[in-house]
Amino acid sequence: MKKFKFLSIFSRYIISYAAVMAILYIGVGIYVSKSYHSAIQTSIVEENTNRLSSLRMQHEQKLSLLLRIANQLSLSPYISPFKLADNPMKAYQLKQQLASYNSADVFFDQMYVIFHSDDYLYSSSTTVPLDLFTNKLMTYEQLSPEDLRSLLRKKDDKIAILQNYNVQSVLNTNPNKNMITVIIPLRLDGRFSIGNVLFQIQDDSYQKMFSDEIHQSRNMYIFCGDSIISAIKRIDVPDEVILNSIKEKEPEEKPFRELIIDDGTRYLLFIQQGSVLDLNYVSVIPEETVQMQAARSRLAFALFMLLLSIPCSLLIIYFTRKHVKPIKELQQSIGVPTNSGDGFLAIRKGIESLIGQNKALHTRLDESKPAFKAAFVKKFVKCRFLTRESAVNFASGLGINIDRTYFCVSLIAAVNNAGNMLERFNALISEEADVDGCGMEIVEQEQYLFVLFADKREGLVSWANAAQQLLSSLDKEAVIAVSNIHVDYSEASRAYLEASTAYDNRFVMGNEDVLWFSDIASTAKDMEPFTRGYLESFRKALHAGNARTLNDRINDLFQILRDKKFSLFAFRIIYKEIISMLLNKYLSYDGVSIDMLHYYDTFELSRCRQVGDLVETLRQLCNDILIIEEQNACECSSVIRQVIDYIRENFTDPDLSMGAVAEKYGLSASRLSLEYKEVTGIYPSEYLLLLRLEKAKQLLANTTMPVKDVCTAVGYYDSSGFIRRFKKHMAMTPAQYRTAVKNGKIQYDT
Amino acid sequence: MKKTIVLLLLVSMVLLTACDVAGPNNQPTNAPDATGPTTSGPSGEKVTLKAFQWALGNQQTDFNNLWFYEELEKKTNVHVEFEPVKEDDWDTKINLMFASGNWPDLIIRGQVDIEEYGVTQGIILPLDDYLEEYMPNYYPRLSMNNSNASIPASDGKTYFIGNLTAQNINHDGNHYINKAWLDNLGLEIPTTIDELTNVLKAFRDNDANGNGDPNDEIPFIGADLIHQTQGLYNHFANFGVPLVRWVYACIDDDQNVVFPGYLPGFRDALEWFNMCYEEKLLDPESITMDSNVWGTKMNADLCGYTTYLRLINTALTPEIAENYVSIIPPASKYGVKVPRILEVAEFGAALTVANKHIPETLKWLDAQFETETMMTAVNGPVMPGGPIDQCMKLNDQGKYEVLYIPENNGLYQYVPVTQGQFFAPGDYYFDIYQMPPHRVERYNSSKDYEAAGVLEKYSFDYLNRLVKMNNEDSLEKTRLFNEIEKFMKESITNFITNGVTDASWQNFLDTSKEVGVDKYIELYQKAYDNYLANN
Repeated sequence: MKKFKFLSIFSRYIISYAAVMAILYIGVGIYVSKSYHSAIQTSIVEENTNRLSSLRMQHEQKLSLLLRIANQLSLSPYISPFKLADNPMKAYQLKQQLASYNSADVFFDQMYVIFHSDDYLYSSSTTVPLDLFTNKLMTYEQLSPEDLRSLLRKKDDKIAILQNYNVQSVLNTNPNKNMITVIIPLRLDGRFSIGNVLFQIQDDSYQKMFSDEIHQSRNMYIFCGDSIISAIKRIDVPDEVILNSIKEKEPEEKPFRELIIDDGTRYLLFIQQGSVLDLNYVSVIPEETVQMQAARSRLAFALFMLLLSIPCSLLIIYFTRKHVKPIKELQQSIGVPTNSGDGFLAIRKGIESLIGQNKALHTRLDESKPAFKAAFVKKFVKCRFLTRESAVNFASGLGINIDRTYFCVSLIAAVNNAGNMLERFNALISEEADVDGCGMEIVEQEQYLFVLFADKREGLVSWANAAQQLLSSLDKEAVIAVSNIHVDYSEASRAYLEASTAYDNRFVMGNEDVLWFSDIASTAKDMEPFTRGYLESFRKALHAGNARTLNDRINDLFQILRDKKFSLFAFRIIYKEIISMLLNKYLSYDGVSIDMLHYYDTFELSRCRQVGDLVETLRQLCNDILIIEEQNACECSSVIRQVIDYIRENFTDPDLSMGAVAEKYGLSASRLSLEYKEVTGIYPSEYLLLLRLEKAKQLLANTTMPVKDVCTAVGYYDSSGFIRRFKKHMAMTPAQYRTAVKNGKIQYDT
Repeated sequence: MKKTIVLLLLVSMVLLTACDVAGPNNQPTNAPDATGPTTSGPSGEKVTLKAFQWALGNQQTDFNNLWFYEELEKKTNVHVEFEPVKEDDWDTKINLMFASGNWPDLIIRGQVDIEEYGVTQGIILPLDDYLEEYMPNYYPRLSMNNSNASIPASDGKTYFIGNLTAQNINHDGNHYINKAWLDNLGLEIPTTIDELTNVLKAFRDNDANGNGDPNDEIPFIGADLIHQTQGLYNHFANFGVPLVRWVYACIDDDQNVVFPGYLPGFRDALEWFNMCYEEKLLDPESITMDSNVWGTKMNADLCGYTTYLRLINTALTPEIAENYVSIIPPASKYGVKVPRILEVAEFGAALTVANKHIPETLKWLDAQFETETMMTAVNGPVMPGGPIDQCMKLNDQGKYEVLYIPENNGLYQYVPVTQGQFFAPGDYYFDIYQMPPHRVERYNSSKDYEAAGVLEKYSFDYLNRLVKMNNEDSLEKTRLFNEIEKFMKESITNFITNGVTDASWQNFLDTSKEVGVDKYIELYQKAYDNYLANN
């Protein structure tokens, strides 16, 4: 058992299957072997009984035919006893009558009629005097003429059947044959015995009856009284023994008797009594036959089982391999060597170890859950999840279902001596059926930040109200601010800023109710067109890669924000958009450090109180981008580099067109355009426009050249086209620009 | 999954096969044994044929183990399984055979209704296309001595192989009287019916055979009423009535076909027979016994006057045969008319359409026509090394000469004798054969009968064998023949037993008409006229 334990899984499977098969085989084998003997014996008994019945029926049918002929003759009008000497005519007629029984398939060879009152025998072919018949024409080997005569003359009304004697006669078809003789009385009107009919049947006909059977060692006999009428003998059994056995009366009705002769050989004897005459039909087979057949059948069955074992073995191997394969894969996956002694033990240990590890992991996970939740909140409000799905999965890992339609951000003022507020408010979340979410503490600001998700707006509102009540119960002075209710996760930062803005308005709005951002008058909508336009020009400047231009744009922004008097919130939003765009650009470069993300921090932003606080940050970011741009530009195609240089050198030439540039560098205009865009991010025509406009701004700010001349100087023939482009780009005409610079409204940094 | 299915299929197949091989009920089937393989097919392979064989009633020939056919099998590689049919059963059994549809490959000897089974029913195979190619021994002899005359059927086709022994023999039933008895009683050979009657009475009344029993003599004996050699029909010749079993018509001297029953001597013959019966001169068994019983009585030296084929080499023991002499039939006032036979080819063999080995069969038959083989078949071995001593030799003239004839018909144990194939037109036969005594005997008796002028002028064989009828006439003739034969046999038996009165005679004449004797004669007259016109 111990050894078995250390076998490979494959061997264990094979042994298990084989053991089941072996038990099955042995069981079936023992059962079949035992049942075979009786089955074979039954089969042989049945077969012999049937064979004997068939013989009996055949023989009796043929004897019946003879009896019927005798009966018909008795009823025939020609069969009234006569003497041939007195009436040859009757003899002639009888002969004709007898001829009608001649047919190709008659059982008998010869048929003679004899009347007690006459001295002649009649057949279909001749008449013959009785003396001549017995003395000269019909010679029975073991029957004297006198005996034959007395048999022919017998009047006892009984049917006599003589055993097969050799008969020599020219009257017979074959002059020297073994014949069975049947003598049947002729009875006039069925009563008075008037003569006899003698049938001679060739023993060959009997042998045919015996022989249409399987070639088995079997003797068959037809007994009439004590004499054998005919027999077929294949085995050597003394006739007397059989005769004695027939005479013995068997007490019980068995289909066969057992017979033991002197030398000890055992036989099975089958006897059937005839229904027509005192006939016994007997067949004898050696008991050995039963044994032999049983042995043969057993052997055949053993061979069959052996043959069967081949597909069974194949199946065992096949299924074992099939079963072992996934186990091996399992071993591999849990790091157990597949050739290790006890595979299952190894798997068990592996699984136990995994379970242990898993438990430890869960414990650690549970312990660090608040930290993870805080990380999630931070990441969420910073919009660091690239897709909604990744945010949902992350939260799901923390047991928070955020896959809901609406969300909002809430800031709650920390209350001193209120215990673990985070836990309390988290508990509040779990009390709201439709709401899920989590929070974190912003220690330096003495705030709690919550992100909340719900399928219905009402859920979020309900939670806010509940949180306000809870907060009030802790400290009546403490406030809770909530952002607008959003759908898109990418608006998370904005939501935070909304909440923050609302929180900052606590002094204005008081602290009795929830501070909803929506309750604060917002100019966000007014500033959206401005933000979009400005962002576009900023983007183009960035792509142009000119540090000075970018600086101008930052100055412009600073100027505009200051002039337009946007609200703090609007300012923060615009600023966020710009930083966002710059960061996206920045992050699109390979190999940049994530550390750079500190440029953009919503929390930093929320702490900004004036515009100037952010200019430096913005400048630094632009600088970094430009450095990277510069590095990348070196790596770009020398052709494009040359194109850029060429455009810079010749942009004041009104005839400079992209077709001319392309031709110069052996490229098609479209190819140049695509490659240029690929390397620089903008089309060359846009770059040309930017250069010309910058030049124009420079001339407008620093010179008094008429606009028309400025137009020509920067490479435009058509001044109206120039003015339209300038206005589109700068949101003011060249003249307005010059005025603005002059008035100090716009700074132009040379 | 695919692999699993394949594997399961494989397993099922193995299981099924295994079940077939080793099922516990796999007992041998209880099929009857085949009697033996019947080979057929390409040459070189032994061919087995089944033959319906005519056999003499009084001879015992074991055809299937006959030395002659065993030797022939070695030469031809053809094995024939014979089904012998005794001549007395022949007519019944051959008709049964044809009706059964279970036809043999060939039929050997006997009588076959070629018109019915060949021309009409098409069971017998026409051989015209094969003879020249496959029977090089037989075919040339057909053109000798006009020996082909009787062979073509009414449609002109050849349906059978002929059997012909042309040796100038002109009658079958030869009249014999026990000369020993005559001598014992001091009597002369009778020449007239009256003398014969007296002799018979003397035989009856005396211990003619000298065995001490004056009552055991049978003065006058026949066997099987209609038999051509021993039957009582032969004795109608004494009354000028050439009555034969084959055809109930004969040709008178003016070439008219007549019914024998209408001939003037017919009634007197019957009255004489009746007298013989009443006077116990005639064995009452003469109508019903067969030739075996007849032979047994003859050999017991119990018989005085009879007819037979010949004396030498027959069923009669030589000692008994010695007692008899051939006589010219004692004549009545109507003169004597012994039926004349023609030496035309008889039926030798025919093939049925069931035969699938026509060339092999014909070659097997033709091998029997090779001269030495043919002579062996009839007379016994020519060369040493056979089952018995040489029976023949080639003499100085280059002719086969019989050295001896085995006793007790011993020949029939080795060779078919007259039951096999033989075709010897006169010119051919006399060229190759030194006539043996039994042939000489028949030749001499024929010569004597011819010289005595007791033979009918125009043979009944013209009607029996040579005239051809169309199928319709032939069918009608056959139908009428069956009626007339039955009627004649019963009438003759009745007359012999009960005598002839005017009333019974008139009844006979009336019934003759009723059964269609006139139509029957008319059919033959028409056919004979036709024959005469064409020959």
